[in-house]
Order: sequence, then structure tokens, then C-alpha cells
Amino acid sequence: MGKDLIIKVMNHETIDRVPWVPFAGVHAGKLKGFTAKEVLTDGQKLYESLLEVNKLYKPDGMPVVFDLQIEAEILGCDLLWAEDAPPSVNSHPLKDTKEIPCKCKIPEAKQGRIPMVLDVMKKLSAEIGNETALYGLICGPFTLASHLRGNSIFKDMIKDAKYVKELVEFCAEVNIKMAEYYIDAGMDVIAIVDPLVSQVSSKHFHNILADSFESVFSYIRSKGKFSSFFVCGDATNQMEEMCLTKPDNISIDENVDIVKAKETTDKYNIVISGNIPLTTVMLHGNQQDNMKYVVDLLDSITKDNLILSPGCDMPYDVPIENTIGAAMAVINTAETREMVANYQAVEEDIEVDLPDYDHLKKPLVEAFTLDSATCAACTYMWGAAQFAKEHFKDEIDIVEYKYTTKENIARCKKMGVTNLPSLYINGKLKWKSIIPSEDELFEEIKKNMN
Amino acid sequence: MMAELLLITGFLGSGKTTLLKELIEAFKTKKIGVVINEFGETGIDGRLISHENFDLVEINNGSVFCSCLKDKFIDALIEMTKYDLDYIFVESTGLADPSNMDSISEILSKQKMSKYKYKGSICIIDAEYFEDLFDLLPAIERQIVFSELIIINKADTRTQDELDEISKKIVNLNSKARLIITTFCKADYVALLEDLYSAAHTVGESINTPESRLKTVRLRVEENYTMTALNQFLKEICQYTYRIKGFIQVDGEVCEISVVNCTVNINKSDSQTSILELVLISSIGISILSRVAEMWNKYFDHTLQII
Repeated sequence: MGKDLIIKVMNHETIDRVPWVPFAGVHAGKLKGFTAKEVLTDGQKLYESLLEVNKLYKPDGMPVVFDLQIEAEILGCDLLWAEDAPPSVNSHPLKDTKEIPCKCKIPEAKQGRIPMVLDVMKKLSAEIGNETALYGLICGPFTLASHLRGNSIFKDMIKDAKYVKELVEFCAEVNIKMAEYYIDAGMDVIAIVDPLVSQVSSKHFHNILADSFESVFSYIRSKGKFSSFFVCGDATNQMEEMCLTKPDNISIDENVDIVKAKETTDKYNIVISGNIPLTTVMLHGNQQDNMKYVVDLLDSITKDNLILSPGCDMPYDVPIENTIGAAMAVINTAETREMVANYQAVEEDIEVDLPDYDHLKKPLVEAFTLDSATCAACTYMWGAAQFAKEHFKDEIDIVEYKYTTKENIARCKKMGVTNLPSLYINGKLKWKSIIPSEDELFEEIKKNMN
Repeated sequence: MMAELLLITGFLGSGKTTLLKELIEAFKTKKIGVVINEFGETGIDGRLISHENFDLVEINNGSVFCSCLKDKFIDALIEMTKYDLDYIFVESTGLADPSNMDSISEILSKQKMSKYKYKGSICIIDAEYFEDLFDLLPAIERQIVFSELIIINKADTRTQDELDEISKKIVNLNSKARLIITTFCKADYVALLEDLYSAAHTVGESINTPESRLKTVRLRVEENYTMTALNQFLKEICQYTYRIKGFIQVDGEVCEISVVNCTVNINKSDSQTSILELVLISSIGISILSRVAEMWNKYFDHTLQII
């Protein structure tokens, strides 16, 4: 049974094949014709969609709900809903007030969408919990703190680290409470999903964030469950520090070289998960691209302490056959290797015109993102650009290129963008993965003013 | 009949529960209500004195003076009006700040809770650690300033000169309050409370805001533990705590654990408790969880169970 594979790999036992965990969050809805909003707000629709995921994708483990805004919504953030993506946070209750919320605000099991989630967890646990490992996903303490405080948190990290540490500790207590609810509802793995971790320096991670993460993982372990640390973006430099917080598993996306990262996680005997590219392969590739990618990945990496999964939450519109192809490649690798032996990926040639960067009338700030509506790190990178626009008004231009269209993928290629999110000014790369504080950004923009 | 409301403050481990027992003994002919406000979700103090004959209302999850719990505190008092009591003793958490007690009294009177008269506040000072704790915790200063009776307890741990120094510091902060020096809180409370006056204090907004609440960790300890391992564990983890309390089975016998500032007391328990738990009050915030996990794995083979 698939669940046994997950338990064995987490316990570092030898297994016959690498386990497969597709992160079908809102994408689950697509399988039953429901919108993202429907599966994130309607328990019955979510339940039906997840049963379909279990049937079609043959997962060894799967998340029940992938929405990093559940806790933030209860704590007072307004959400902007989308039909094909999880909601995003568009107001920050601590934006203008540097407070630590009262602990009486830690979400209760009856608040917000938690009752719906717990109900689905219990039903799913009863229905498929014996054969499939179920993941309860929680918005990590740093991303949650950013939801509450907004972009100012990056400035706070430099100017008032103590405040950020306390706010993140509060959010870690929220994590612990949520973990308790989810474990009681039958979850086998508790994943702390903190995409923003990749956006700060490893020194900041060590000094301000690490204690809170370690506390949460200690708690999960004390409950006899496995803990997982999900990060998105280029967390290459954080791998060592993340390992030191002692999760059972770390999950990374395509921004990190999984073969190299695994050398680090192996050193600490931590299971690594990853990292089929979400957009280029899963969303815009075809079935053979997905099969080939998985086979090539499995052929290039050691098989112990490994879980095969998408880089992060799968985009809503991933063609169903692509995931089926990826599943096939994990479950029947030898057979799939034969099938794609002679396959060459089709390169599409799309022409894009780049601005004449040398003759711009005013500074141009370009944010290259996976999608600011769905990727938290991208939200804050684009947020920084928008903040600059509010400040400089007509003196600058800003634009976001989401990696969700073929035109923008071609633009990234032409510009030589290697990491998302990245911020360019007048065609030059200024910040890669790391989100600038407003002081740094404003200074750089001023340098480019005539 | 009007019940007299008396507040007991003092830092964790200073002797509040001991004082409560003394008061109950001193007023045993009277009808007494007790409100105990524990940080931990289990009322360890509640169990220690639960064989006594009085009504107990516990308020968990934080200080009664915490703004988010004011309502619960008042609910507890309203509940107690049913019992026609002579005295209500409120044992608060170690970090409680009594400066808004007057405004709580005001709320009570507005709600026609005329059955209560606020008699005043007794503050217990832990002589052994006074200087260290005083510098660390602003709530202690407020407790001194807003008290009518101040007890310097654990006098046997200090010299007379040192006790004089402590007294001087306290009198500087509050010259109106009565000051006594005790060991094990022994004193004639009938006489002391007779002329305890309720001074007209300025109503201050309590500094005991929600974020200053402590992180409490509860451990389920249902296995049998060896004295050696337990001692080592407590001695090492105590540096990250203000206080550790609870009941645990040591070498086959149920023992009561009390640790204050790394002074570890493990005594055979005569309490009829069946709940084996340890409550740790962290001095390092949430990181206590990691340290507990680390030390636990170092000294015990049993799985750590955080409740």
C-alpha cells in the first residue's frame, strides 16, 4: 500500500520504489469540473475531488487542502478569490500597527474554514486513510507573519528583528494549534508550507526564524506524526539551515537543484521531495515531457530518502494526462523509460520584443513571477514593485510577467531569467528570489532616474 | 451578606498556594470561595488543595487581569454569588498585574454586583530570587505598588541585612502597604486582614497585555521514570523555565514535582491524583518545545507526549 511506502521512507527504510505525492490542491477541482473557489469553500466538492485524485493519480500520499490563506483569513486578512487559483491576501491587519496579536486570537477549530477542512479530513481518513498517507498543510510561520504584517516585514527584519521574531513565534503557536486539529482529524504528515523562507538570507533565517520552525517540528514529532517543511523558490542557500530545524522531510521546487540539495538532506538523514517543474513541464509540457522528466530525474538521483512530487501546488489547469504520465513514470519507471527512450521535446518558437532598455524615458521595474496571485513569494515581490509605484507614481513604470503564458516563458528565456520571482530595473537583474526592503528598492530606482 | 474579595499576587513559586492554604486554615469558620487562575490548562494548584471544603472556580489559559480574560473573571465572580460567601480569595498567575483591579471592581459595581467588596491585594515576594526577578519582570513592581499587604516570604534563604535591603526597596515603591517577613507564609492573617485598608489607587491600564503571557507546555508522563533520569532532565531543562510543576511516577511512586529557578523538589505525593502531567512555564517562549524534545530524548526512552 502507498501509505506504507511513505511511512517506510520517512523512517529511512529500504523500499522497492520511490513514493509519489502529487500536490493536487485547487487542481483537484478540475478533475470534477469544480472551480478553485468551490473546492476551497465547499466540503462536499473538495471531498469528491480528492477521491478523484486518489483514483486517477494513484498517489502514495496526498494533501487534503492546499491553501495558505486559511489561517490568515481567520486572523483578519481580506482575501481576493480566484476561480483557477487559491485566494491571495490583499490586506494586512498589522500593516500600520506593530503589534503581536493576542494569543486569544489563535484560531479555534470552529472558526473560518477550519470546520469544513476538518470534516473533509475525517471523511477522507475513513475512506482512503488506510491506503494513502494524508497530508495536512499549514501556512508556515514566516509566510503567515508576512500575511499579517505585509511587505514591511522585510524592512522590520533589518530594523527590528526582535519584533519579527516575536510575530513569527506567535504564528508558530498558530501552526501548533492547527497541527493539533489536523492530527486529531487523522492526518499522517503535517506539512509546514513556507514559501517565503527562500526570500530571506540564511543568516536571517538562522537568527529570526529557525527557532520557531524547530519548535513546530518538535511538537509534530511528539504527537507521533511526520513533519514536512515545504519551501518554494530558490532555497539553495537555506538547505543546511532548514535541515537544522529537524523536519522529517523537506520539499522543494524546480528552483533548487534536487541532486545537490539531496546531498545536504542526506547528510542530516532527512527525506527530500520534489521537484517536477510546475509550469514548463506540468502545465505547458505534454504527457511525454512529464514522463521523460520524471524518468530522467529518477535516473540522476539516489533513491533512498526520496519522494517524487511536483515542485509545489499544481496549477489548476495542468492537463490531467500530464499528471497521469508523471504518476506512470514513478510507479512503472522501467516501462516508461522504454516509452520515452527516443522522445525529443518540442521547442516552441515564440517571438517577443524586449523594451529598448537604453532609451527608457523613466525607470522600468519588471517583476518576473510564477504568478503573484498564487505564489506567496511572488505576491511580495510584485507587492514591492507596487509599493514603489505608489511612492513614485508617474515617475516610474512597473510590469509583472507571470510564468503562466507561453509568451512570458519566452520572455524569461530571452532575458535570461533563471529564478522566479526576480526583479529587474531597466533590464538589469537586481533581486533574484530575495525581496528587497523598500529602502533598498527606492535607492536603486533613484539611481536610474535621469 | 457582602463577600470580601482578596487578591493574592506574587511570582511563580513565591508561595501563593501556601498562603492560600494558610488563609483557608485561618478562616476555617467562614465560608470561603477561591478563584485560581492558572497558566497551564490543568489546574495543578487546584488539585493540591482540592480536598479542602470550599468552592473552586478555575480560570485557565492566562491571567485574570489579561484584558481578554476580564470577562471570564467576572463570570467566575458572578457564579460565586450563588454561594453566599464571606470571603473570596483570588490566587492569580505569577505575572498578574493588579493595577486594574479597581476598574474591575468598578465593572462589578456597575453590573449590580454589590455582593462584593474589594478588600485589597496581598503580594508575596520570593526573597530568594527577588533581585533577579524584579529586574526581569515589570509586573512584579506593579504588584508591589498596588498591594495593601506585602509578604516577603522564604526569609530563611537570606541574611537579615539582605532582607533589610529588600524591604527598603519595597517601601520605596509602596510606603502605604503593610510589610511582613515570613517563612512558609506563616502569620496571623485574621489580625492582618482585620485592618487591611483599600487605598485609593489611581486606576492604571494593566501592563499585563495578552502578548506578555507565558508559553506553557504540558507533558503527559504516564510511564514510570527513574529518579536519576528525572533529576537530570529537570536540572537541565529548568534553565529554560520559570517554573515546573506536576505529578509523575518515580521509581513506582507518585511524586509531586516543583521546580523554581532550578531548585528541584521531588516529594512523594499524598494527593489522590490520577492525572500524571508536568507543566512547564517557559522563559524562552516557544523554543521551549525544541529544548524539551532535545532533553527528553537525551534522558528518557519513552516517547515524548506534549498535550
